[in-house]
Amino acid sequence: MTDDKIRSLQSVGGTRVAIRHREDAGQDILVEATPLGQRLAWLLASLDGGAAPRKEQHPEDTRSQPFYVVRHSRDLDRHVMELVDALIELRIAHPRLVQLELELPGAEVAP
Amino acid sequence: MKQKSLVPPKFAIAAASFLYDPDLPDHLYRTYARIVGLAWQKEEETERSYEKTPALTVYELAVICNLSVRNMWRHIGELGERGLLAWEEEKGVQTRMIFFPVWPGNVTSVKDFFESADEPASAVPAGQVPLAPEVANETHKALAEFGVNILEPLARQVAALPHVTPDLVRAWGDNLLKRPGIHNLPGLLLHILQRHTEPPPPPAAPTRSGPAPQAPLPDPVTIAGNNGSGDVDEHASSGTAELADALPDDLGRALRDLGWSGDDAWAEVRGVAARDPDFVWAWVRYVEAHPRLGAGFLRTQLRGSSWPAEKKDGAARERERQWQEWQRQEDEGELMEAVLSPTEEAMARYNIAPETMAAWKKAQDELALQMTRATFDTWLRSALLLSVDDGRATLGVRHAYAADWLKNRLDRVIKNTLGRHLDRPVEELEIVLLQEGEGERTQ
Repeated sequence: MTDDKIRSLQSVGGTRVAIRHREDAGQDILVEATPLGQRLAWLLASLDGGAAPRKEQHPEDTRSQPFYVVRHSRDLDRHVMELVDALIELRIAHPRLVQLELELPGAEVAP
Repeated sequence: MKQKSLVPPKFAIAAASFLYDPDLPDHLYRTYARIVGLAWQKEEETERSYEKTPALTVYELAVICNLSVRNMWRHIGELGERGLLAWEEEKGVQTRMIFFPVWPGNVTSVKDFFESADEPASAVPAGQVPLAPEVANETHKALAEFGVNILEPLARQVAALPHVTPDLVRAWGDNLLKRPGIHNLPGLLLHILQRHTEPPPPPAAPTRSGPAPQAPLPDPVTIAGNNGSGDVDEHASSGTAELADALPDDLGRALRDLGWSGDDAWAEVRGVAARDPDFVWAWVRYVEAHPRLGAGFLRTQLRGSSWPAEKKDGAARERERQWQEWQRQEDEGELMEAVLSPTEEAMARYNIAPETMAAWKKAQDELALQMTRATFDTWLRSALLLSVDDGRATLGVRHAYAADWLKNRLDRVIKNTLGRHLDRPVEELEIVLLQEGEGERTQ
């Protein structure tokens, strides 16, 4: 993923995720071709009908890391939104994950 | 050890149910979102089952939330009263805040969950408003009359609310139909029905000049009054607290001590303080020093432009009169030429050394960042650094009133700033009145 037209977004378990804007004003999601990246790309592709993600490599740099390309379609977008909401709810509903510990001086503790 | 940022790196969760809740004041939501956002961190190299946010002190939390400690406690208390935060004491010396986000979900058992997984809403093509076969509910029919897709989960949720009756639906639906500028009538109708238990108020009587105006949309206060959990006064007091929060903490406290109250009054003083906090402080100090005066007197003075004078003898009154005259002339552009005269002209007229002028320009740039624009424009923009000699700087201003003001309020700031740009300390600042020729000392 060395193309200067892509924008790196996030790293998931060490696997880089980026986006690449297309000329038709849409965008492709690029996932680094690691073992985790392969499963992640398949997950994304499954949200858009399940077609296999396309694997690419930088055309001018054959030694670079290959990556999977998933087209960001309308169906994919809708399912991504639902997935994001579900993932947030999964985490925030956990009884121990969303909490903040506040240290109080002894004098401020209510009797 | 890797130092992690304390706040979320990119995003914080913003629960939509709170974000669009008219009963939750914005300042409380902001604090709530900031607190929840702090729970993103993970401890490295931990053996705990679950990684958690490192404990914070209240002071640290207040800094992150951009509040004073006192207001931090107040926000925490109000969020706790609203059920958005809960507290749990540990070992008598620690308190843990636990958040209970309110997310929609009515499933009570696995059996119910899988049995309630009915047809997806997306099965209904967009733009169509079908009536489900099982719908015999008059409320559903009323909703459908206004284009609401009653197969959508939200529509069913609204229809199930106890206060949503067919009459209420039709009252609001008819009201909205008469209004221009509504593109999503079903969505707006559902939104209103969720929070409004009463039909829209009747239209006002026709006036001579035209047709009767349409009934107003529900306003936040009206909606708050119907929530069953708080009355209008409580909502208003929250608004007052928000307005007071916009002021520096010590200024807000001083105003409260003087009996300042009411949303309008807070909004008014906030506007004045945004333009010139020193002006507000000057009158607050004046009223504090005169116990017979009160908030009413203070409010009247803040609406004017005169500064207080502890003892207005003849000379002080004359200086103030001259100052006001100078301001009037400046407003009318009579002094524009003098204020905006080229640097070279000022240097020639007042015999200012080039390096002194250069240092003053840099100092002015920095001073402008240390105060409000109004304060800078009023007191410093037209001032000139005339000379610097043996730690003594001479600043020229155009009026004796400005000299008094600068000497009393900005003496230290100007000296420190000048010292940085002159590369040597300024121990004494003398402020003189600019005349046509050379500067003349005021005192």
